[in-house]
Amino acid sequence: MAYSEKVIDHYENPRNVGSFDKEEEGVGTGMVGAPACGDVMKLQIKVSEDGIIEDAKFKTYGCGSAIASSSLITEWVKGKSIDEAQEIKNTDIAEELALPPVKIHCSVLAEDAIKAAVSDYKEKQSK
Amino acid sequence: MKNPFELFGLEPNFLLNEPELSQKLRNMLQAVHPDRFASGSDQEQLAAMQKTTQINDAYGILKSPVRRAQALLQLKTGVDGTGEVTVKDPMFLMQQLELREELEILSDKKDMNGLLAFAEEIESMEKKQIANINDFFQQEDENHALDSDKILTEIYKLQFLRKTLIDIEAAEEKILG
Repeated sequence: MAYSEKVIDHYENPRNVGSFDKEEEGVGTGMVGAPACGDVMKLQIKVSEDGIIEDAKFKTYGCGSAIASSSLITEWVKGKSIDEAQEIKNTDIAEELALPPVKIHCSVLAEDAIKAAVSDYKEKQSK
Repeated sequence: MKNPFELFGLEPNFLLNEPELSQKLRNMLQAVHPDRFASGSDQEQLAAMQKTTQINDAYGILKSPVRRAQALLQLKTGVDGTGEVTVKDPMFLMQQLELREELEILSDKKDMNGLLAFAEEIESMEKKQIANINDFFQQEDENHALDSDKILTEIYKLQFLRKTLIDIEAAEEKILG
């Protein structure tokens, strides 16, 4: 299958790979997986006191499209409020990366991961 | 069309006897072998070919624990477990992520013995998970309907383990060149 140039770029030079300590104040961790292809994605956000995402990191085991989708979304969420981050749609990711129909689920996974990270952050805050 | 269990004349159970399945496959394929229809009409030849495809497709489902479990779940509860869904169980996924990290380290070190030992570890986890799924299928009786959500979740777990095993094999092949 032919990957788009943008997918290849993110795959070869993934942005924001790594981890934060998930116990750290202001860190939200989203874990998601796709059983059909076996991909596993961890996406973490570091949120400032005024609710702005200062930094984001990811670790993804999966195909090029899954890595590119998570890499792209970590770039997009930086500087956004947590509410704005939740507004990101998988279709925006799929369009930006020119994902073929069989790889759309990779962008869904990235959207689900950011939502899971935000909800983990909110849950931690409410404790 | 007959479901794969029916096509092979098997009771719809999750556990099956693999030698028996292979034997049935050979017999069934022989019965529809093109050579037997060489002098038959075009229609007979086509029917034999279609039957061969059906048999091979059904065999592919039955011999794979994941696909067999999905087929059985569909048969018993009508639930289709083959779609693309997102799993969000953090504990399980964290464990899977750690397994992939371990694989990545072994692969980078080109540690063949380590990979073989790691494969054994995952295979034993896979065996346990297959037994686990079987237990859930066994819970069906006149008083209990199958818990399709629970079974689906357990099949998903098996799918991640399978993927890890595929990745281990790929890592081994890469080292062997």
